Amino acid sequence: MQSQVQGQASIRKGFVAGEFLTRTYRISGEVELRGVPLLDQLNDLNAQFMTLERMYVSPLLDPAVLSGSAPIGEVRKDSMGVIILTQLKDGLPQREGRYMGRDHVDKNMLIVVSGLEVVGSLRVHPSVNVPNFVRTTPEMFIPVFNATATIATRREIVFKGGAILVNRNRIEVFCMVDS
Amino acid sequence: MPHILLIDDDFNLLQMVKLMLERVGHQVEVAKEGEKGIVLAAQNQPDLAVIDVMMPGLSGYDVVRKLRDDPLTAGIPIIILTARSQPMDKQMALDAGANAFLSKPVTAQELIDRVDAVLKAGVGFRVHTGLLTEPVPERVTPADGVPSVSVPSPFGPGIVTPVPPPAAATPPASALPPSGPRSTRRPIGVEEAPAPAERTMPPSPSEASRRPIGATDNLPTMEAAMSRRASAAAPPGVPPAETPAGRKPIGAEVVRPAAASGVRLPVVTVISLRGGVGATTVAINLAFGLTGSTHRVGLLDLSPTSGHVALYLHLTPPQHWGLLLGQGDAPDTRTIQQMLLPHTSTGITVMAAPPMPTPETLSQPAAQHILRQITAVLNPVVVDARTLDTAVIGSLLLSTCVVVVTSDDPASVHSTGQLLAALQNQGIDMNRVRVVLNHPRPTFDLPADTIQKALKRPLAADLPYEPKQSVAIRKGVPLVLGMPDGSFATSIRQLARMVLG
Repeated sequence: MQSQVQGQASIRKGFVAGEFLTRTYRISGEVELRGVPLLDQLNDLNAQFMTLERMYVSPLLDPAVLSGSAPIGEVRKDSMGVIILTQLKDGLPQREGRYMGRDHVDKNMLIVVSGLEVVGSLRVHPSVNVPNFVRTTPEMFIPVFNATATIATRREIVFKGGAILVNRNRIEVFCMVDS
Repeated sequence: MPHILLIDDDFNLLQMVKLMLERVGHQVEVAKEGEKGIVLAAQNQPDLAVIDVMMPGLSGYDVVRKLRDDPLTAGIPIIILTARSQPMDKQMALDAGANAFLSKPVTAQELIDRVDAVLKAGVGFRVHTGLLTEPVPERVTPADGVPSVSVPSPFGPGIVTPVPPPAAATPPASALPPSGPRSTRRPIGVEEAPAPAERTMPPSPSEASRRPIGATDNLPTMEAAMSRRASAAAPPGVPPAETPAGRKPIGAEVVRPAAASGVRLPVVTVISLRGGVGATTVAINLAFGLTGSTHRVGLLDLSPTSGHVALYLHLTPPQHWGLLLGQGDAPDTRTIQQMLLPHTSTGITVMAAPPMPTPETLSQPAAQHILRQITAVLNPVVVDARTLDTAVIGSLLLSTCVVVVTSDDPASVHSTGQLLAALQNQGIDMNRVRVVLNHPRPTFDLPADTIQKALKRPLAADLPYEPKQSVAIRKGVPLVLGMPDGSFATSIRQLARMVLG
């Protein structure tokens, strides 16, 4: 336990801002990392909820309008479709080899999740069978890099981010896309 | 010493931003709530306001609108600083009346650069990433003492609101987005009375455009943005020298691009009159080098002799600007928009050249009209130019930056010298011209120093020879994408930063 704590000492601390998209809402908020990357917190199956600070809510179909706010809120992790991180470094483990293989390559993918079309790339080792990986990885959230998320019914609304964390449990369809 | 008002509910960020600005000599006043900020703005008349969006009570958008509504505060330039950094947020902020948009986290240098640029430009201009400046459309510019405020679209200003047919069936209430004016934002859990009159409906299935899954076509947004900005961008937008309250914006004495020699658009024209120096390659890679999280880059191939941009990118454009030749000086907006071809997976958008050489080209006004329409939705736009015809001159006059590509052979240098003289004769501001030395061949001829002496200009960049250039062209993947860590890509990215200011 001691070595684990020391090992995490280099992980970015503080808050990470993210956009949490459900089927109906855009929720902006900050997650306190407490030395644990956001992606690890999301994939921690021991906790169903996650605390957001400075939470602001918009309807997904009117995403620029603030319709509600709360200093602190709890979101249920498995109801999130995608989580958009503005910058790649936000919330992801920095060490290559976790969530992305060593000598990784980018495999372009289209993932339809919670009514959003997410286009971006998965970073995996060249030998990895990507469909198998997406189907069988034990993690609930997988990062899609250099991604855009388009609302399927309102294609003019597009979210962009250095990484988009996709909830595998909410995936409706996915396929590989030619690069 | 400029006086800056900061409005943000996050105390830590407030202190940090205050410190950043005070270190460079600004006098900073802070407010933790929107209401208090509005009062302070009216009382103290700051030279600039930096406002957060996500605040309890009045949101940043509401604060901006209230400041613009009040003649006392309508002349204060405003920067929105927010963690909400999606394209629709930026559009919302600019439409509310902000002059610039910065997303958190922000570095001290970014903040200071943007603050200085907005202070210099004044309330009549918007300052974008890369410090590209454009006039504020009239509808949000205070004029005649009566600030005009647009009626907010229920779906947000940056988003197209489809107009349902009168007899359209009302969707179920659950499908309706929350309604009401933005000032009715409430804490979660507080009941809100419905306001059916202001509700809007999502498009019915028949109205929703049917496109292939994963298609990146954003034409509805483009059309809306074009119609919004076309009228504003058409005349030279010179800001009022005096604000309604009689306040002269800070930096009014600074020569502004628009006031000096017409409106500039976020356009970078890459030109070389000699073939084989790699101008198209530089233009394409520069366009990809300019692509970032906040940039939607366009690439316009203005070559009248079968331009190669589409070929290099393995695109097969169904339409090209040659089809606009018969449409006079103001080609149809819809037709222009249909010619914009997205490059899948990168988000760059291309307007292709005619596949066959054309004896005629676009007139100067037509080329400028097309650029205004394109820059309404894409920013910046890189133009690949290979001649000095009327269309290219139109582009050069509007460009924020002109990149002249040369090579190290004597003929290229000679041609470049003549081109520079011709640009000067055409009234191009030579301070905006950057000469770039490209090495399309492995053999070296004239050294860079000699070229600089011959041209009497410094070289803005020296792009190294890259043996895999031809492979990249064959694959349709520019080196900036295919070999992002290579020396050529690194040089292109440096050039991109220079081009952006």
